[in-house]
Amino acid sequence: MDIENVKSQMRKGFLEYCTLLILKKKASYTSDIIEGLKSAHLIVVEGTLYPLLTRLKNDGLLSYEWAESTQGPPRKYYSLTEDGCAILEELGEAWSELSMSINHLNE
Amino acid sequence: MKKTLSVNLGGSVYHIDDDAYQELMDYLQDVKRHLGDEASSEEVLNDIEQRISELFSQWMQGRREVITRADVQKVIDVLGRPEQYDSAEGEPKEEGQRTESQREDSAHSSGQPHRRLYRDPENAILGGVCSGLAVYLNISVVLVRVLYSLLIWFGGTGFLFYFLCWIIIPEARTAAQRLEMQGEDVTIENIEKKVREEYGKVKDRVDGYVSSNNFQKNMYSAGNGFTEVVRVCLKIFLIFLAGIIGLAGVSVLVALIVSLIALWTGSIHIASPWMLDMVPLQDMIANPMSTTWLSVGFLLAFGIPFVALFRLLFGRTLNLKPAPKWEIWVGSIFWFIGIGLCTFFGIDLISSFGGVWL
Repeated sequence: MDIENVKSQMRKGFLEYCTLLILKKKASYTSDIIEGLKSAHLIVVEGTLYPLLTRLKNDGLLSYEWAESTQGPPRKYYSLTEDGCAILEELGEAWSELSMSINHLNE
Repeated sequence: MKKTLSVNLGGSVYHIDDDAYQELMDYLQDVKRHLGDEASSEEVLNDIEQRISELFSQWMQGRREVITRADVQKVIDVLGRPEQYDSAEGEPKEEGQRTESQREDSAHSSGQPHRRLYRDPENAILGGVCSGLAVYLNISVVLVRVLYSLLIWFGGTGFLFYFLCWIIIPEARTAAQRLEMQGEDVTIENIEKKVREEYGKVKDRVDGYVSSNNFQKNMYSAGNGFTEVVRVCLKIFLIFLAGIIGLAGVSVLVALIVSLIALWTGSIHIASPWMLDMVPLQDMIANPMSTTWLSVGFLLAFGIPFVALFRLLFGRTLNLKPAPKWEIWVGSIFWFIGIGLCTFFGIDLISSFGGVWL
């Protein structure tokens, strides 16, 4: 069994969930999201986020506005949509369930 | 000193080194390939370009003017290589990514068991022995090659060893073998991924090359080079020809001169109808001077046109200066004189003979 592979599969699944959590707290730029993830000990390369965020946006969970920047090109400023909030709730419940199962098995 | 290009990243203009541009291009193409054909991939690419542009303008900050390879490398570190997407790991992988051999979208996983030694045809210079070895040991190809060349230097048995390896070690021809070489699992999906990767790489490389200036420049200079060679060959041939003809002409002139001298010194004898012995030609002729003049006439009448013709034909090839007007005039006048002499003294000579025999 390839432990690294399994771990990575685990984390892949809930990266989106974590992103939504961060955006729920406050609307952010990509760099802020990375910081948020880092503070939760989830280190990703920036490149991971771009496809992820675009996917979530295309699914209607996120929206963005262009923010002008003094240092370079305008940046996307992401925030949760209503749908996004709803999904977040659902995911929260799913997560608790999973967590309970694991705890139960660990006893 | 390096050549730079101007590049448009997300709406801003940057100066970027030639080699840095190449590396950035390759990286962006890797990303593009990784993202596939989804509708959203263009948007994602734009986002990434924007981010790169942002990073560059931060780092330039008015102090520097040009983006270097180091900057591009930093960007790649920050944004991560496409293989590192979708995985939240402890640390983004560093080793095995920046092999000097070429830009590689190689999914080198360290520590994978069951790596097999193959010859690597993709990065091969001769037979792929060194590159295969490098992949197997997961070290830089350049290192292997350097070590190998040192080996050769200190005892030429290296050559034999190389050929032995070439014969013995199999070439990683199929995709499955290539995966084994890099120690990845030979699964259907890996194979598919690898084949697609390689196809994409080759396609991009060819597209890039064909559409780049280099291709046209190379074609142009190749074409030029060829016509140059033909031109030079032609020139050599003409010079050769000129030499031969010139030699022939000179020898004719020399013959003329020699005969003139012979005539004059009386060494040509001719049978005389009323004497029993051979007499020198000179004595047979009423006016000995006429032969001299005749010879001079011959020289002029033949020599001058010859020189003129020679000049005409080979002047270009031999880079002779075109004859100035006065030379042409003088030459023509002397030629006429020559013709006149020939005619006059020729008739004189014939008549003197005719007088004897008729």
